[in-house]
Amino acid sequence: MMRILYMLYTAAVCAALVPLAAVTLDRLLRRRRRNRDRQLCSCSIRQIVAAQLSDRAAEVPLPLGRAVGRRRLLSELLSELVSATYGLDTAPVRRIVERYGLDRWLLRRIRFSRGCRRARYLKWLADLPVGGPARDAAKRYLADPCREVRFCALLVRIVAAPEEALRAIAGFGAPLTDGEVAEVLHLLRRGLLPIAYRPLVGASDANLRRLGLAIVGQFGVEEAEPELLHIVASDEAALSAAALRVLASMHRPMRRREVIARVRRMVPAERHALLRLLAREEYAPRSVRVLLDTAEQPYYESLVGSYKRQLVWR
Amino acid sequence: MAVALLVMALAAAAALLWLLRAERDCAKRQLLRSMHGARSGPIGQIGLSLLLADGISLRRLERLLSVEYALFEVVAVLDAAREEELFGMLVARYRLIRVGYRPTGELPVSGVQALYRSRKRRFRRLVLVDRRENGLTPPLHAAVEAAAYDFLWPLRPDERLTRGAVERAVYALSEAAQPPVILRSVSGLRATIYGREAVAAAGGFTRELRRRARPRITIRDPLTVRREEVCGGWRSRWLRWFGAGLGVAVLAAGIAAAPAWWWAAAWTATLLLLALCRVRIGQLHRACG
Repeated sequence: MMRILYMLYTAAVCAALVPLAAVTLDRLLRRRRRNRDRQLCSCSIRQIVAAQLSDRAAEVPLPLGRAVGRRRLLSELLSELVSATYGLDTAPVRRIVERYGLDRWLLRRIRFSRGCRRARYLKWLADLPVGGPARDAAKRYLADPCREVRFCALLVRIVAAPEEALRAIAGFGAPLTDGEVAEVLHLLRRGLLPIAYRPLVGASDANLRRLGLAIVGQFGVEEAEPELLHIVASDEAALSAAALRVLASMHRPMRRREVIARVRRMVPAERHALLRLLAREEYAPRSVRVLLDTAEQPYYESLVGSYKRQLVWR
Repeated sequence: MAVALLVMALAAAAALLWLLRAERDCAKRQLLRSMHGARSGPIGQIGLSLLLADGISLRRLERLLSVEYALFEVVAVLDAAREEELFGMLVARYRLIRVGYRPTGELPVSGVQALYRSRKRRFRRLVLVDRRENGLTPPLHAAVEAAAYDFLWPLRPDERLTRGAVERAVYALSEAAQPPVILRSVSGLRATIYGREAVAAAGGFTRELRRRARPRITIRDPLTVRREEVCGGWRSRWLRWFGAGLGVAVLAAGIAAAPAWWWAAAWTATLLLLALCRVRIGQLHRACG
């Protein structure tokens, strides 16, 4: 009996050993090919950039097309390239996607993976200029149990239909984190979304308001000050604190009634954090004196005493 | 015999679970690497101050200053009288000028002679504190007084950041419902990032703060690893050979003491599985680090 148990156990462990050994060996070989893949990537980038200037360059096969695992490498490379550039002509990139079947490959990988791996493939799908049907196929992942997958599926949906972006964000079903808001803002910087802050800061949905605050802060929209003060005066602690930080980052006057009332409601740790932000934004002590109590005056002046000298290089 | 089988089965199950968790963590790190929000701008005004009190060199600072995240700075504490040559090199390289210094009073500080910042905008993230070592207060306190941001990350002399560590740490901090007091990484060299107010309230980077502070975030992401130039790489190589030798010795001892061939087969298969899991986890850390 014990012998049979031992043999069954050994068989089970060997069944786990075989795929594990195969994956380990594959990664080892991939690591050995890493330098070669890196060189092929850099040659391919040069060719893609050349294709922006000349259509003929786009007809030549890419060096990376000869690599092992070329579709994964190409997807990653094109995703990085598209994300890091502004005003890129997507026609050559679209031709590459069609030639190597990257959209079909990505959809297959998305279907057979889980968790963050699936989310990563969805992120690549959102970055690449693929057709509408490929993006439509990713809609069903909006209901995935993994949050990262849902968010990346949201990005795919936003890129596929920018006119429905606001509705999609409002229907996300959970508060967006600051990191997720930054990702949506990144799409906006690439020109994929309209920069209309007014419908966002006045929206009833908290996610849309957070996105609106981020847009106002990012682009320094001073005309949005009345809306920001309205949010500062509201009862939502997190949003009003965020609006206050946006006002400070835009160097707006801090002697507003709403700002004074909000600062008075802050706990000491929050106040200190705000004072550090004001010092970094180079507010003079006189301009924020009304926000400080007697104990905080020397603290703020000591912060300013070390930071103001940054004006040397301004 | 039954006990031995149980022990082997538990060891194999633990190794496979550990591997599955490492695969999941690696997938998360690779996903964060494909996110570009942190490289384009600040995330929710979350700022990190990296504190260096020892092991400062030009090469190390160059590497740390190449971090792309917007709200990030490096605060280095140096004794200019003792390390005159290094100090001169830093002043020349980064065009440092002496600026005003007034302690904020958050922590007890002594021996600070001057504060230096760069006159060049591209080096605005470097702050150098000239402090005479006098044994009265830790040098990190002087770094905290000069730091500008709300989260403090003291770096040990033998540590270096993994690729994208700052951005991943910021993403982890942004996912918390309320600002945490501590973020702890239980992988790699166990980096700890502290909330500034908690450090001020505790009177420094105390063990009590590391153990008891709440709310805290724990992540299994190797934010820091050992610097090769500190140990010359010999330590990791020596450990690897020692581990391999120990594994072979244990395997041989088990086979020699095995009561039957099926026992030896199970023992060999278990050790092979443990070894392969360890190799695979090392690959995952190297791939994502």
